[in-house]
Amino acid sequence: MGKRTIVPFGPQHPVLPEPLHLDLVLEDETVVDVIPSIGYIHRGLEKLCETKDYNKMVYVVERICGICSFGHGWGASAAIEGAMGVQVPERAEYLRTILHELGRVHSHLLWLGLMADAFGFESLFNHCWRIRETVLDLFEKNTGGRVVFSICKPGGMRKDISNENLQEMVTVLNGLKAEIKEITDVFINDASVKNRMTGVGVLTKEEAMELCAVGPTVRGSGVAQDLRLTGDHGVYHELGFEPVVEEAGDCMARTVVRIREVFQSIELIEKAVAQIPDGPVDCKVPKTVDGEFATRLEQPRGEAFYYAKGAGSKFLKRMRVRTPTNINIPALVKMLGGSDLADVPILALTIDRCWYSPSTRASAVQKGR
Amino acid sequence: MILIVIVVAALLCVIIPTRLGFFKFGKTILGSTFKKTACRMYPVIPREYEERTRGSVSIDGPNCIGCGICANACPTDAIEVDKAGGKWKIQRMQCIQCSACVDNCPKKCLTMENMYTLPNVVKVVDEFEIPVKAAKKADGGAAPADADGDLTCADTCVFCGLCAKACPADAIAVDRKEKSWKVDTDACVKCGACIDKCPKKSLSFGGAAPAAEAAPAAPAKKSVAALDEEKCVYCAACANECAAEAITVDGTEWKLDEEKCIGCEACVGVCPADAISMKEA
Amino acid sequence: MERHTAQQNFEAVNLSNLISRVGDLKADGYRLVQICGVVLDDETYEIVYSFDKDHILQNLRLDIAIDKDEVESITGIYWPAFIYENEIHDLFGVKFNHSALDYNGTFFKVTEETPWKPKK
Repeated sequence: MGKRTIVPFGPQHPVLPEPLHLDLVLEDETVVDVIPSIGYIHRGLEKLCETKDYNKMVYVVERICGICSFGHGWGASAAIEGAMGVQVPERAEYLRTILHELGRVHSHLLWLGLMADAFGFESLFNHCWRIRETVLDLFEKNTGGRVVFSICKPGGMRKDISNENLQEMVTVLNGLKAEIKEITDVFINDASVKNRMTGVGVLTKEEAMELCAVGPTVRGSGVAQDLRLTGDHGVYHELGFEPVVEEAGDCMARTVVRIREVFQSIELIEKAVAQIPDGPVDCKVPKTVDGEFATRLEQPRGEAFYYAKGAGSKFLKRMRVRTPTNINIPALVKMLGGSDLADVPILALTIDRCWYSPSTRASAVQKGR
Repeated sequence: MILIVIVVAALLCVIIPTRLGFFKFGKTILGSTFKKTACRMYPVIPREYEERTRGSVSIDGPNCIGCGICANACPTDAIEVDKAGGKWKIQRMQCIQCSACVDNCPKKCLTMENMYTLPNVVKVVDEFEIPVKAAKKADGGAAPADADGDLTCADTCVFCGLCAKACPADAIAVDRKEKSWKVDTDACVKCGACIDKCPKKSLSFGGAAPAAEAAPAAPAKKSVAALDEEKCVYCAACANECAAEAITVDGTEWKLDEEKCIGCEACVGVCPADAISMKEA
Repeated sequence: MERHTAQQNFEAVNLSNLISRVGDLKADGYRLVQICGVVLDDETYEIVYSFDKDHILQNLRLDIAIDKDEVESITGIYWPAFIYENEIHDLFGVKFNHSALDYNGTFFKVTEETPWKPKK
């Protein structure tokens, strides 16, 4: 038995500028134990939601995470719509699906770039983000925001997107396909990338299910778990959606899941734009929220859970958001056990890029907010 | 001969490692050496904004009526309306550019500009002059002189409910079956959106409405909408506006359910082609 | 076109049958989705346990008296539950017994103890 050392990791770390701290217990170079601690950012968004009426609350929830902001706005709206018993018009569901998938393209490209950065491939990182910029421009043109879109509201969408603009979106995305393929081929085929990722941080199917992992993390381990299959929200059942699943369970498999999802999302957008019906994009909603509703949405990072409990007024009694990163921590702890210290940054990224921001921001509170 | 050897050797140097899985990125790197840079040379080349880009809120001060709906709609409480003092204030650093105030403004005097608030070392608060309460009388074109009075409805009312729909403060309740029209004077912000909307011009602030004089003649006959088919573009704007859901537009077919029509003339007002007029039923 | 909204399954449990009910769900192949605390009134918390199997959500609802009841930890059945149990402990002040991973109130770094507990 070697000498034991404890290495503190984060929250200030080049690949992990997010409020997570890991105490890595090392034996020589091998991690033998990990103690995660969170709670560096207390924004108390869940509590803040209770002080805002349901229309304003959506803007708060959107700000849980800048990268999956559309999904959060949608999830919160869907939970409120569910509690009210309102069904939004067909066109709004289509627009939400399209924007959500566009968000997935931008989120996965961002993640791929950061992954490249984590294993020291700077130019690959820059190219991933260069392509992502085009997607952000699409967002700005159609919603008015590059990061926070503020286009979703309880009862539908705040603005319609014209069919011409949607068509243009498809054209731009199809034009990007070749460029994305060029970049992602490097991830899949380059020997140095393979050396860093293949066989690293294996999470078996059984472990992934036991640890309740979600999103690309669990799909990389051969579990076909994708909330888009439920048909609760969006129009995925009309687009012939099939989840992307990889069997290997290592870092490479999780990367490949995301790469394939980028192309899948572009295809879903194309199909949705071809089918989108004309019509209104919002409907009348009651003035007060009563009742409760629990629902989930597949974010780029995995399953996000939303629970709204009304109190018969404009204000909610409770708005609960459980973000995907939160539930992936146990899986990360499992993956880190037995890994090399040099692989820790990659493993920390492979679960999720948007580390703790979604989870703690959503759940803690600071005095004198 | 030597040249051929060098070329072959150079090619092998590239091909063999590529086959083995190295230099997969070589093509992209080489390509971008000769391509134009992906970055814009900011600030030499300024950023072009999209039409929808949300940057900062601006106000058309003279048109503001100080109703405070924007301040109520603001999720971050960045807006403060001082009606008595004639001031409209916005805390620039607190504004999140969600554009909720712009969407909710009944007078459409707020706009979302593309340009963002410039960075600053202090928290900027911008102040704009808005007409104080007394000044409202002067510009009251549509509203009668006694603009301070409560909102009233004359008996020309056809209970179409468009005023209730237009009310940003949800202060009006209309029941067509019961033939009742009610205003919650506490909730009313006197923005005048309902007055602009009313197809019968029955609404006014304070006392008897001018239209009331014409009232006795009207109720006897029922008038309904009529279409000039040559002018109609079948845009369905009338069907969307119709509070009684009496109009249906399907393809190039325009139908009116005369039973349902309440003769409010709202369709006449919205028709972009002036194709609708009123006739006696 | 038929669109169905998420089915709502809420089932009430009490302190005595919580563990056996969660054990049954685990045996059925359910996955833990989340646990959240809700302040019902000054006297009562509601704890919602959510589980998922084949994309169907099953929720358990547990009502407890503030400061009086102590809840048995489910970390023995679902280890990842430690995140939520520690969170609820730190924010609401609910005591969980026999936790497999108890941070003893240091999971969240809060300036004030149990900030979400109703102030009396």
